[in-house]
Amino acid sequence: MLEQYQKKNRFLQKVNPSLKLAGVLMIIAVMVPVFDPWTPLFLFGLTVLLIIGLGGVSIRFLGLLLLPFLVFAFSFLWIQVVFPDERGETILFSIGSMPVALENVYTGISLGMRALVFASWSLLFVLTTDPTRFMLSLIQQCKLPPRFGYGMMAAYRFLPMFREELQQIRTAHRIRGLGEKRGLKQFKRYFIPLMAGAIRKAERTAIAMESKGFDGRRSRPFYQRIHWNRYDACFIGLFLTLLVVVYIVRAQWLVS
Amino acid sequence: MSYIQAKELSVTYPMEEIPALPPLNLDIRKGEKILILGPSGSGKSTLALALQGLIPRTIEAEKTGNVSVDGTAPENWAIAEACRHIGILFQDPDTQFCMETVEDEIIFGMENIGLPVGEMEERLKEVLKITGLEQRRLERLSSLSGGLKQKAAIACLLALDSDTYVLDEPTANLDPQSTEDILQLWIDIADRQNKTLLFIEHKMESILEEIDRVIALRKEGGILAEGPPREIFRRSLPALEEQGVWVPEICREALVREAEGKITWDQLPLNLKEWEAECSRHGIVKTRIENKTPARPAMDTIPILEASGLSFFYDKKQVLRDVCFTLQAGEFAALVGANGAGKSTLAHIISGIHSPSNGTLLRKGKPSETWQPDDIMKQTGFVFQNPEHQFITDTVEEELTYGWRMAGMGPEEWKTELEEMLDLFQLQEKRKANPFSLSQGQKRRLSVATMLTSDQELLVLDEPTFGQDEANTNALMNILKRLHRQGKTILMITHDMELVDQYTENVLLLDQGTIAYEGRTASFFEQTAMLHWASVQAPVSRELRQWRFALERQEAPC
Amino acid sequence: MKQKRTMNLREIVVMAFISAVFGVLYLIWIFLGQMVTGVLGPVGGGLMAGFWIMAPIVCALIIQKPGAALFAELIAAGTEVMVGSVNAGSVLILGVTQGLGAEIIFAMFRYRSFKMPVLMLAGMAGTFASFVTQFAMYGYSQYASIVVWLMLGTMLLSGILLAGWASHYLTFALARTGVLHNFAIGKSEYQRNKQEPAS
Ligand SMILES: Nc1ncnc2c1ncn2[C@@H]1O[C@H](COP(=O)(O)OP(=O)(O)OP(=O)(O)O)[C@@H](O)[C@H]1O
Ligand SMILES: Nc1ncnc2c1ncn2[C@@H]1O[C@H](COP(=O)(O)OP(=O)(O)OP(=O)(O)O)[C@@H](O)[C@H]1O
Ligand SMILES: [Mg+2]
Ligand SMILES: [Mg+2]
Repeated sequence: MLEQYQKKNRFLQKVNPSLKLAGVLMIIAVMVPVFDPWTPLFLFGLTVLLIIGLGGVSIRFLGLLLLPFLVFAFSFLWIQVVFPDERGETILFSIGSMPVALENVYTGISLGMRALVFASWSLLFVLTTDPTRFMLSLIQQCKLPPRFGYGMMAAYRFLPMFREELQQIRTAHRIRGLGEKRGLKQFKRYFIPLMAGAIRKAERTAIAMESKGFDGRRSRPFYQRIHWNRYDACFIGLFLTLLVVVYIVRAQWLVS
Repeated sequence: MSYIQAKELSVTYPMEEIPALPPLNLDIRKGEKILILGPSGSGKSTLALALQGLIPRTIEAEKTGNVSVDGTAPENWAIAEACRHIGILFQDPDTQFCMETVEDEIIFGMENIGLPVGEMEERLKEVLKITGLEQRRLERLSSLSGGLKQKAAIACLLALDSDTYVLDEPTANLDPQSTEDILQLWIDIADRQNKTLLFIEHKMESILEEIDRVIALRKEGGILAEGPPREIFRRSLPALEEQGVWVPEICREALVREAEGKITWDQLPLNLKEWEAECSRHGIVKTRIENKTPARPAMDTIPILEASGLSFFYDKKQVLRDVCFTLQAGEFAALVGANGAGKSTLAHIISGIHSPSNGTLLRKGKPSETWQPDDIMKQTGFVFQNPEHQFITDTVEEELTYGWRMAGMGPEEWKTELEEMLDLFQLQEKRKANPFSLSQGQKRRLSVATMLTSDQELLVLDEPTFGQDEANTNALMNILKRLHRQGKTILMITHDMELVDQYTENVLLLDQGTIAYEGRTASFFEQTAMLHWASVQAPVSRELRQWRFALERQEAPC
Repeated sequence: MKQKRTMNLREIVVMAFISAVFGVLYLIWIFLGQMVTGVLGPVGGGLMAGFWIMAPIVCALIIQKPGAALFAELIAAGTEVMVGSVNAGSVLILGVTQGLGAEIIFAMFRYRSFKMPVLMLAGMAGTFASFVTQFAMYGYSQYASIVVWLMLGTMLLSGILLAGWASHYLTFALARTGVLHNFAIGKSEYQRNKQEPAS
């Protein structure tokens, strides 16, 4: 499902993965001092437009991924209402004996929306980035030691298999007459075979990698080089414009 | 001038008392094609690791004695250098890749040895062409079937252009046709580029005459017999059989007939073609025996399984379509077919792990949906392709007795049977070991054995004998036979047609996701055309039976 | 036997696989965690926090070399992102801080001691780092201080129980299977068994 979007030939997919990641981290940093609800709302809207317009992701799929996150975001609101740092003055209504203040609702929405902004930027990255390119870019641009890069790549390859194995181990237990139980003992029954299998596989994979001549040197030729290109320049421009627009809009209209 | 030389080479894994590879002497010339045979656990895979210097460079096992390849000790090579000398094809096709796609994996190796980009391009094209993977270069490795994975691994090795290739069970899990194709591929490569080949295999019928020398290892260490295939099988056949090492059916038969005085072979035949040529020089022709196998008896009892119009999809990919078959209670049937035909998938459906997307499956006359999952599992024993999934206790012994203990039996009831199992499957010295610490072959045996001790009435086994030596295969099949006689229904997936012929009554043939044949085993092997397009081959022993008949009618040797 | 202090490829790949398995488990846990947080709020969510520190502690315990905890958590975070976590950015930032938190404790003991109390301490350090990061990232300064203190409390408790005790329990159960023979933990375990044979 993800792969289909990650391999699309759209603008966001062509931007250097490390650059996109830097963008995500920047956004998180920028959002830290913001406590009004409108700025994150505005930024969130723009981000969704970006993902759909420049990444070719369908709005339904995006919604599907964000939906469970809404619950998480909502928790910020109600906790802010019930346990605020200081209660606001504009009381809207009371739930039982507890007054609900407009200021607290605003802060709650702001914090919830902030979580959603983080999530949307994460999705912007995840949905438009091919894992192999990501790994190569980390090695080539961020100087990640190849051992770690290719090691992670190897593990990534096995992910679908782990999920399948978890399923198979469950069935095996049922075939052998071990009912479903709860608790740490049961967790251990799944965890141990899964981990033991993973460790054995990892050892064999590492040995196979070395037997193919992989020594983790940094100076290796690359068949696929991730170069800086004009898409990266465009992305930087776009990103800065986005920040400026959000800043101006916020200063002009949102925070009075 | 010897190229690979080992003197008293021995390897002991950390924290083990007995060496995994007992002292061994080897002497191999450049360009030779060697077949290494040996019982399971005799240290063959360990030898491969030592030859490339992975032991002790990467694996901290203790190595004693000397080994040299092309005049230097492998452990002195740099990592990137080692793979130019020796390339290893590992036993497990899944764990020798680290990238996502076929192309990326081939390139990974070439980047490691520092090829310039232009040359990478050329070699990539070349190895894809040799292995016939041009159409698949961008496919994910995890979506390939067993045979294609094997080919991808070969392409990666060829791109490294090593001088010597060590191939550790290159055909395990492959269907008979792919087995032959892949072995032939290796022989062609070796001949064209003068490479040295070391096959490590339990079985290798089809290209035996291309092998220069067979080296058979002994379990206790050292070499049991060594020489060109014709000589070794003539000279040491009983010794090999006694160690549980595979010997070609055709050589066994040939020697038996010679001992009976029916024929004297100028040259021991290694395959049917040679047998035929030799016989025709003696003026013997094959007698066609009309096999009159009784048709499958019509039963009026309710079949244990009855499927009609089953289909199955993985996401959007259809794997099974319109599958119809019946399995009667008490039957011993084989499920055969090419790699990727959908056998394991069908087995999963039968044992209740997957549900069919369409169609009906009746269990004892009742639709599968109406059964509780737990009841299906209580009726159906299933041996997974990966043995590790099945282990749920801490020692081999507990694992074996688990079924009995669950059934509420006390130690006095299963004590003798336990000892018998441990002896039969050669797990006696591992009885206190943790199941995860066993070797591949030992794990496989244990996982099968555990299923034999619980009392489900239907047993489904997914390739229970792969990677096993002859002794263990026989032990296992004999137990299955006994269980069958006791009334269990058995469905076994296998690529080994000798087993199908020898043990099973009925055959289900899956071809591209649908049942192409359902009926008696004997008549199955007579449908030559069908066998051909389904990538299956009739076992040698069937042909041999007809020749035996001809020889028996011979009055005296010529 | 003299041990090299840097990690070799085998150890790195094994770490990556373990973390990847945790990455998959994290995804299930995240879902659970979000439900719990959604209903009980961050205080309840705090109880779940220790689970995120399991990967670095398990790996550090197995490999017992500098950097293992930090890298394990980074790899786990990286894998989580590659499988499609909805929360990639925060996951990565948290990965760095949590990993660092645990790593500092192991460094304080100069990578010599991996006993239960040390693991619990490392678990606490991990969840503490996680708390500080989330405090800044998700604006916890806006909540009543009692909530914030309670949250810190539950997170630390979870660090002790899940990250410390449960990691120890599971890792030693794993060591008994024999798959860890080629790693630091397997070796020390073996030597201990040899000194006090079959009790
Ligand atoms: N990593 C390891 N640690 C400890 N013991 C091992 C290890 N690998 C293999 N062994 C043991 O060493 C012995 C030889 O193993 P090896 O894999 O070389 O056998 P093999 O001849 O290849 O067997 P098979 O035909 O089943 O593949 C076995 O008894 C096995 O249990
Ligand atoms: N989990 C999966 N997701 C998608 N496709 C799958 C999955 N498992 C198997 N397939 C595909 O389904 C087809 C049938 O697979 P299956 O494993 O049933 O074949 P098989 O007959 O057991 O082959 P082999 O002899 O190689 O074991 C193959 O083309 C395979 O690629
Ligand atoms: Mg082997
Ligand atoms: Mg199969």
